Amino acid sequence: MDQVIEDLWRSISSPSIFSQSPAGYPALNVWESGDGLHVEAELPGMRMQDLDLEVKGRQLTVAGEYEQSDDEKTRYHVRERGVGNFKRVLHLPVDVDAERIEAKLENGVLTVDLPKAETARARKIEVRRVGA
Amino acid sequence: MQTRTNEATEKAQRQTYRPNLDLFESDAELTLRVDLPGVDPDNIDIQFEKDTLSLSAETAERSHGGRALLTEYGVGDYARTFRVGDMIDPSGITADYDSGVLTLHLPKVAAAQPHRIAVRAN
Repeated sequence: MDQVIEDLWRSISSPSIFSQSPAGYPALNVWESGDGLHVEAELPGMRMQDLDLEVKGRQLTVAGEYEQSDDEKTRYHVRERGVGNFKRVLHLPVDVDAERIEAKLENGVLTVDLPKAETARARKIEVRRVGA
Repeated sequence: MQTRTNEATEKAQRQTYRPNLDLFESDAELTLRVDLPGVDPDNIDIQFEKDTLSLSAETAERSHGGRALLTEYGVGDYARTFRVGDMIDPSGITADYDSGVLTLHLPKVAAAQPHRIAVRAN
């Protein structure tokens, strides 16, 4: 556990969250199951209406803008949280059924379930015993 | 890139992360905004002792099943401890959690608030 006691008055920081992930913001975790792909991203403070999700062929785009809630007079001492716009394009390894994609944003965690297109689903092949 | 994780190993290696935060100040208070995505507000623990504020939060398990194709971030608990000085009135601290962000209002003690000095004309 992080037991370092910080002196916030001495920390110097800038909005750098968008450069923390080498691939871009937001960082993504992706899983593949037999039925589909599951994409997850942490977007604390983001609201669904400020988020744009788009699937075009095998490209999923996650874009959005963090609301600027504080006025210019706010005196910041530490600023580490994300500000402004972001856009991330993920290339999907299989075809997905665009009509059945489901997305939810819960406690700042975005989850997108992309069911595989019929043609991309694994099929069980019956193996017939020959002879015997 | 790790493509396969053993669930038992993952649990044993549960990490604690230092959450990102903003700290800003007005005449009456200090406000802290802390990114705590994926947390149930009941699992956030905030302690204020003398001049030190300690935050910790337990993240709910998130399981999607299947094979990991891309793992760009880790999921774990959060903890951060910092000194806020002696200008805070601990009895007035309030906290709320919305959309994965914890907002802490730390009111200043009266002595730390700016006072307008009236200039009298002779």
